[in-house]
Amino acid sequence: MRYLLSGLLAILFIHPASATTITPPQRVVALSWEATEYLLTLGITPLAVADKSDYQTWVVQPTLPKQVLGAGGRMEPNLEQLASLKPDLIIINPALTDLKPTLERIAPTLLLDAYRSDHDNEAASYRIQRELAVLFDKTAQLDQLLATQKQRFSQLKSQLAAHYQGQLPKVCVIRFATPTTIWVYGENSMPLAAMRQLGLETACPQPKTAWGTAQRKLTELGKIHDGIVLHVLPFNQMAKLSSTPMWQAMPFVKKQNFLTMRSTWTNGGVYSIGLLAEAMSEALQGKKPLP
Amino acid sequence: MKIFTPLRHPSTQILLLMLLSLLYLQIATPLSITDQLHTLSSAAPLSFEHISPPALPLNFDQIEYLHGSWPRLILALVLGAALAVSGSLLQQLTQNVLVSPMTIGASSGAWLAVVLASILMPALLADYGEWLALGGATLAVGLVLLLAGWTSLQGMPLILAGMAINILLGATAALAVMMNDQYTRSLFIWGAGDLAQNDWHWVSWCLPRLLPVLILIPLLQRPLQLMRLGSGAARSAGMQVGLASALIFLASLWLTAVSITAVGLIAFISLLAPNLARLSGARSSRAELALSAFYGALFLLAGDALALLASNYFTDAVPSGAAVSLLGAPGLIWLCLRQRVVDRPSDYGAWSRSYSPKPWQLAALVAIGMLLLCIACLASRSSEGWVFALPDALQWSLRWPRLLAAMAAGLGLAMAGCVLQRLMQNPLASPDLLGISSGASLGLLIAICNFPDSNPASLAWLGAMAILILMFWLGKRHSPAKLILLGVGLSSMLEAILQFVLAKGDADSFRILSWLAGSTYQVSPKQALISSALIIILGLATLLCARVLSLLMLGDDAARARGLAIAPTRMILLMLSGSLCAIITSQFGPLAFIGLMLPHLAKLCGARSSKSQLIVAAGLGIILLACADLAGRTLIFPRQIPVGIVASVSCGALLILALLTMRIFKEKA
Repeated sequence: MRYLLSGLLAILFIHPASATTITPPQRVVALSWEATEYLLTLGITPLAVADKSDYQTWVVQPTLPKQVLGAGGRMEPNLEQLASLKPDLIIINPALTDLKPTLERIAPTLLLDAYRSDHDNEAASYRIQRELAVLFDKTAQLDQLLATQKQRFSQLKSQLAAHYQGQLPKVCVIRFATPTTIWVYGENSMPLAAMRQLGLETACPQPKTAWGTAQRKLTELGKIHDGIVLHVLPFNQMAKLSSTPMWQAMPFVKKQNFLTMRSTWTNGGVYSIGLLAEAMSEALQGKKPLP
Repeated sequence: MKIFTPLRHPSTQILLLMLLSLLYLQIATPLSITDQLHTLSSAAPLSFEHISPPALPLNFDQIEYLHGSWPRLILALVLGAALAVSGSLLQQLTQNVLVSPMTIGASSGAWLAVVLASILMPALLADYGEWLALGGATLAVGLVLLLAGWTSLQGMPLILAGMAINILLGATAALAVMMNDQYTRSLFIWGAGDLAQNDWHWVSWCLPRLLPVLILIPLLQRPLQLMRLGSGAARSAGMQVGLASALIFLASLWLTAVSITAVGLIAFISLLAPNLARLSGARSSRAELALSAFYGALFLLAGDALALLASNYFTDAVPSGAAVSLLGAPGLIWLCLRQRVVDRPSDYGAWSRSYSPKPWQLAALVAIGMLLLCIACLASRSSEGWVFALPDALQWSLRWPRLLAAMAAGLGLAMAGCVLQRLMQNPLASPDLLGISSGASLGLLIAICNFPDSNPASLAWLGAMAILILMFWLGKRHSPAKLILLGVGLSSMLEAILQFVLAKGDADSFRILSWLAGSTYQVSPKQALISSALIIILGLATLLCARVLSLLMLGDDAARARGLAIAPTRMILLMLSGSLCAIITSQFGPLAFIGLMLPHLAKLCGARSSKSQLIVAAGLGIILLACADLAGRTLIFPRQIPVGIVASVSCGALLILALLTMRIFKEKA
């Protein structure tokens, strides 16, 4: 009952106050990377985004048009810069909740609460994308995009099924922090959402967290006896790690079930799920990523 | 004084270490003891091979046991001993029981060097990491010695200077991490001290680097033994004190640098192990070194076992360094409370020179100050370039709260610093060294981690006040200098908990880091008005006490003779400065160095009496923080640097500059 209630509350997270404008907003500022991705997915070019150059290094896709300005950091956006841009909508994530009253003085502010431990992040991302499409009057584009994505998912799914002759392996997606520490993508993470779309199951179940990641010791990978371990680039100490006896003793390494996936943003939204699915199926079909 | 006497016997020590190692291995591996023996015998030297049948290929648990658990165990023993010896060398040299690579800034120097190298030149770090760390540690210690002076190795000033340098280097490292946030995430894990091993690489890396120093140590024993008699006696015994001290320092710093390069920051062992050694009755230099090494190995082993155990139950792996600190910080506090430290009132007046400026110089200073204030109010940057104009209403409404908050914080911290320094007759006393900032930080940490929906400032305020009350309570029994040491102990404890939280590498760590950096960014107009009003009221109250403060400076007897009730007056003054710190820290994060530096700057400007020092320092605080706010807004536009980091780093630089010029003046005179 409590779960149901919190689910209902989560559905109501977009404050209708900002949706009262009849014409879609024209000058939008995105102060989180999820927000930036949601806008670019719908073909909307934001006026400015937070941490612009880091976005271009880490998220990369969807590509940020050149004319987009920087708006300061994601934790501390430059308020005076924002005011001088005279936006008609500001989109934030929960990291800036405390700042919302101040931002409201500059322009109507929309809070996108995409990552929570008490809801399903994947479902939330599709819901948010839909609500933004309604707000910006882009529902036709979104329907088209989702149809294409669905089609692509089933394409990839059948490619994988053909490659593995119907016996899809279990997969564990990780990212290296140091040669001895890893982040495991578990319940509520975007890589897991992409895996579900491809019909893959996880080889390393993790409890649900807000971002779906858990920081674990490398040795725990030794417990994975059956399934493929897929690591997300970048990691520049692979050569050193792969020569250690411990790494070579890992069951999945012995069975040559360790694969590398090209650098892909793992904390995005609908678009990221598609991108992750692409990168994942490439890697699972044995295509080596470009360094 | 003797406790744990039976532990003095080497065979007992070895037996105990072996027993604990055995226990440790049981935590580290799921294998049963018989399986472990099988695994070991299959990997044992070739001589066994002709008796036993060819071993079956090992499974993963067995490989992990051989190439994960064993190197981790060996590394814990070796580095624990190395860190303890490093601390023991320094303590014997300085005859100061609170000296260690951690308390004199060496660890944070090495850490900063490694952080900067990993951002600027990662290739160099991989090949020469230990030399970079040694360089950083040596520079930091050099600075500390410059600050405290060679003659005060035995007293509190050395520790205080070390802690001040710790703050400066920590702020700089935090700045580096913030400006490269995505990239340096993995540094958090390493920074919290990670002993996990995949192979014997680090063991075979450490041993050849540590052994030569351990061989050198017997050669240092005669000088160490002589130094115990004092440097004068050592010199008359024909010893080259300077050379021997430099060698001992270098050997100690090298041990620290190697362990930091191998496993990251692991605090407390170097401080506590030598003290435990003395408590168990080590008298000679040799006995102290040997017993310290034993305790160090024991300590790190226990800490790492705790980390292993905790990692099995938590969602996220727990770094070893954080576990060691959690065990060690209470130890430091305990040590402070029971240890007698040379607590000689230092010559407050001589620390910063004062001269009388001519009236036109004063007028020029005031004019420059006003000009800077105007610039700070009017200048800004936009995507088109620099703007120097009256801001429009919206712009101004966004600018004035943070500007006002910064100026109020500058005023309050400067006044609190003046009071604390005069009250404790200690030129290095400051709000951040009292642990009040740490209390606030701890409150904030609890708020962010456990009550994400609450207002973090209120818990930070509670934390600051809790520490303040604790300090009052302890202040009745302990000397002011000891209070500051306790503050340092509390800061270390906070650091341990903080690293624990930061090691998770979640988005939250950036929220915490940005608050810790000291930010006036989030302040709302209402908050700015309320807190600056409070600060001004407290500031005026402090100003009223200026005469009393001057009386206290004359000494307790003289003050009593003039009819002053010493204890309550002290308490009121402490309460005033503590409340100032609590308000400022809970609102804007720990703004370090401002309270330390501004009183001295005020004296340099000619403010001699308590009253004039308070006023001038307050004025300087307002101007400095206003400029820091401007710099924070504009330097890396459109991003921003928290005002606290700008102010801390520039105050730290000023401090070093002032000290250097003072030294030069002294040499000339």
